[in-house]
Amino acid sequence: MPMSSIVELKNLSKSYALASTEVSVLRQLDLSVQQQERVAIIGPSGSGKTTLLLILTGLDTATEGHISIGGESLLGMSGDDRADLRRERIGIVFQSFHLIPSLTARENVALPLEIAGLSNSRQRAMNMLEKVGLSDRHNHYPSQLSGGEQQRVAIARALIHEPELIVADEPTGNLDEQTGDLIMQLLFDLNRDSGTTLLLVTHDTELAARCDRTLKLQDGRLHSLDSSDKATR
Amino acid sequence: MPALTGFMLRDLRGAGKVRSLWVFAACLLLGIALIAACGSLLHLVRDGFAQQERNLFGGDIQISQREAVSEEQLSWLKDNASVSLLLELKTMMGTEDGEFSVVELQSVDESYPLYGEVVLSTGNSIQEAVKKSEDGTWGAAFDPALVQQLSLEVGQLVYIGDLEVELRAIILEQPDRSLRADFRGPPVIMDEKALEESGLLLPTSLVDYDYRVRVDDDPIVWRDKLYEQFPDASWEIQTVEERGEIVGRRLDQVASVLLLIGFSTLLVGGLGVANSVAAYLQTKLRTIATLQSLGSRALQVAGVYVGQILLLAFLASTAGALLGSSVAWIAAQSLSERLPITPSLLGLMLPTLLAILLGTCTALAFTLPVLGRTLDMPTALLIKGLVSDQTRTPAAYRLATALIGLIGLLLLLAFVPEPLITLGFIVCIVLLLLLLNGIVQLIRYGAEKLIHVAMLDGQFALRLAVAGLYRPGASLRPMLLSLGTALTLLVTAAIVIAATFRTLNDTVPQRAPSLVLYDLQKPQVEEFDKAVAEIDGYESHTLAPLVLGRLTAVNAESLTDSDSTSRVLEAYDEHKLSYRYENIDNTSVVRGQWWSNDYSGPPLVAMEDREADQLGLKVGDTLEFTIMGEPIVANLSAIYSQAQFETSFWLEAVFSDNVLEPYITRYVGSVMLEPQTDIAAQSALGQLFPNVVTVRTAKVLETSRSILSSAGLAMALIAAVSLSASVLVMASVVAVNRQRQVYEASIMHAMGTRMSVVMKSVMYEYGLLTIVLSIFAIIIGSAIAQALLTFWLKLPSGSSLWVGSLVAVGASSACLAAGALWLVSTLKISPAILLRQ
Repeated sequence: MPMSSIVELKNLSKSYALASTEVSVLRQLDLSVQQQERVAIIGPSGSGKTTLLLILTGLDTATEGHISIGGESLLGMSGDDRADLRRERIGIVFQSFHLIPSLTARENVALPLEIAGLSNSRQRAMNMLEKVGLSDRHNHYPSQLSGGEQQRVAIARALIHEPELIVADEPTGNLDEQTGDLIMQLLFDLNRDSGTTLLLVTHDTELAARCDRTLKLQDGRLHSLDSSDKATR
Repeated sequence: MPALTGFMLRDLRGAGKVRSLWVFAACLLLGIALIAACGSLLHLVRDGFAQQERNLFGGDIQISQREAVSEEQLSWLKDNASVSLLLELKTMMGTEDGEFSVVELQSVDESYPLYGEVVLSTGNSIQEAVKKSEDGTWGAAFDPALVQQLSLEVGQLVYIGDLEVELRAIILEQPDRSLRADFRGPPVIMDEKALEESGLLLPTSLVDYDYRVRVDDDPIVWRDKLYEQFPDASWEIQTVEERGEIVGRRLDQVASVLLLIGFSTLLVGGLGVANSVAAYLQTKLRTIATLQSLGSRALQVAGVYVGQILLLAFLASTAGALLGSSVAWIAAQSLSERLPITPSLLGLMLPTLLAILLGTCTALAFTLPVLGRTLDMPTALLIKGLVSDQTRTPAAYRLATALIGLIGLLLLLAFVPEPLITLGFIVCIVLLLLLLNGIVQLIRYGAEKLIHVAMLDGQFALRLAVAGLYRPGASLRPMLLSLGTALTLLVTAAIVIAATFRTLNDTVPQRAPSLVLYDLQKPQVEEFDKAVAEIDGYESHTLAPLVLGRLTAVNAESLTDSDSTSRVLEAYDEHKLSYRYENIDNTSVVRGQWWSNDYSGPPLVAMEDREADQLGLKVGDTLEFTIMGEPIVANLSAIYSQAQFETSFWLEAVFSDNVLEPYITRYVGSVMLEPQTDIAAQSALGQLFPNVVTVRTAKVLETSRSILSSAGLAMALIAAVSLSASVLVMASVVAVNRQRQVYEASIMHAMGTRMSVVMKSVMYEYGLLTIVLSIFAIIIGSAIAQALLTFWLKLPSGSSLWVGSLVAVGASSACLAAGALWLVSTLKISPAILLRQ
């Protein structure tokens, strides 16, 4: 049975007004990502990767075009509706971890469940921390954890509410090579075990190669590196 | 370093746009202005007193007695010095319109004043103004306030005792007036012979005979000679230096309390200073990181920001000190009519400089730990603009803070004239900090437990707000320290003011007599009883004997030989004594017991509790009083308390019946009248008994209300200043937390939290803080107010406690609601920064 797509972008454009000129960042971009697929997006600095992620996660809106996540169109959605969508369907892993400094590791992990008003959040957070190997550090604050440990907490936080889509923005960018490898292994393993879709933005071509597909963002368009320069379906 | 000095100044460009730096300046300015104002005014007043000491005292030495000195003594005094006799007594003065008023009558001789000069509206000398005219009318010089109050004019006749006296001049300056103020009534100056003719100098009248002496020798040496010459005389002798010391000490005490209020404001403001600098440094994290990455040494970077803080602190402190000194200057100008102040810029210099130094030290002491923690963070973290909560203050900064704190403490000791009060203040601050710390820990513990309560499951915004009470970097501690203490002060002031006004408005008018009278002579009693009953509106009256006596020994130990200073001082005080039978109203025995009504055994005595406590007396002690030169020994049977505003006669000791009988020469009394008849009754009694001083209770109550209104206003002003400093601190706390809250809100929004929920959590957090602060202020403020009312003012707090609660809830709600609304309105969430970092 063919798998349905979780991410659908059609003719997506994003431009910013800058003084008297208009700067186009994304130009009529198309993208379709299937459920449980692992897709890497690479591209030089300033190519629009961050803008694409912001639009994908509903943190920014497109100038034109269509976007849907899990079949839900983001077009015309209010800020609150987009927040609900993130809460239910998306998990984000940031390059700079972005844990809340005043919450412990367990409280940080439990945050998405708390936001959703789900019960048993603390126990589920402990189970998640166990999966990332940090159950013994559950009471530590982010500043008491190493960079690798903070990213493991961030991954646990991104996965705890069992989202359909994980968006990871340079998850190893702030880590040394060895720690980065371990983190990516963990992310891939958890992605596989939970059956989620992974959209990975990275500079690391080796890391990108471990995904099912690699796309390059250039001149505001996505180009597949697996089958010449053709854009994805 | 020179290159960085230039950078330091360039980096400050645009600092005016940083709101937190304005809070920094305002916090310092407010505290320093208060301190500079109090310090400068104290300096000016002290200088003034020092320069005019002899004028104010009226001589080098004052010899006081209740009667004239003997011929032999007077002749010795005149042979050995210049002498001037000033007689003083309180009496009634009537006008041609039939209005009567209590005045302080002073008689002067040819030598008055020994120092300084009396300035009259007519320009002539005091002796000229008060002399008998050719038609036999004596003259008098009047206090301007009295002239205005009774609408008198120069040339008008008034009635004093048996005399018709002409108002000849208004007193514009009286050199020895300032030390006496108007505590005893507005002065009227007459000739000594006029006083003799007035019929007021009865054998038992309460007249002060003050012999002012001007000597060429050292006053102390001269006094010793006098003691040697007349070893058995019972006079009280005081030298100008001794008087100066007493005045100086009282001034110091008042100034110390005022200065310490200023220091409290500065300390509370210090929290605002620290938070403001923390907020400012948050805007400088990347600059610091850049400096570090460009190879600047830690000391160089520290130099830049210590330099900036020093410069800003100096400017804010200077502005505050100049503002305070200006206020002191203006106050000195207006007070110079009543107090011996000669405003001089030189006098303002030292306190102004000290205030600037203190402000700079305070700013440094509060900001160095913040600066140390920021500069000690890894450059990588700084580059991201992140502040870690767990960073400890580096040892060098802790040491520097301790050193500057020590300098601040030394400056405090130099500033506040009473070291004991300063020490008490420091102990109180330490205890308060410990108490607050304990309360903060307790609240944190409670909040941490509360968060796990099942009831909060699913209440995300509320759980987040509860977590806000105990998480690292929570604003609970600074809020409790600043707003909590200010609100406590406000609650205390509100309860005390409400209780005092309630007592005045409700209790007193129901029970207080219309007229209270003093100095009714024993032979006048029968005539008075008849006359008073015929007055219009008369309802009832009571008379009680009043005997004046001194306590001379306790358990056979003479008070003058005592090691206790309070006992020695007490030996010179005259006490108001009476006997018990039907004379004591509104009293309650606090220790021991009253004797039975038919008691006829050896003399027993009861003492008023404040006197007894001051002397350290216990029930069962044997007390020896000297009354009219004779010793009376009585056993202390009871210690009683009198209700402050409900007592007609303030009696310090009460004897068993018959003990005082031989010494009774005068009576005090009260008259109950129908409403609105008191003025006519006072006038009628004044004409019939010119020597009897009558006081209208309504007027006293009016004066009391006016004094209390002023005291209430002063307390409210102090609380308002303190609250302003606290609101600034709150603004700084909100500012320092704002960046963090925006960051956290952005993460939560990225995780899927709706904006409305983010806002709700902020409102809940401030709501919880309001509840905690209100409860804290109500409990501590009510406890302090209760203690003040019970032990000091002796008033029932009654239903006034709710006023405190209302004030606490109202003020904290208003302050925190404003803070929360400002935060919510400026909370611009920007999740894009998360991905761009």
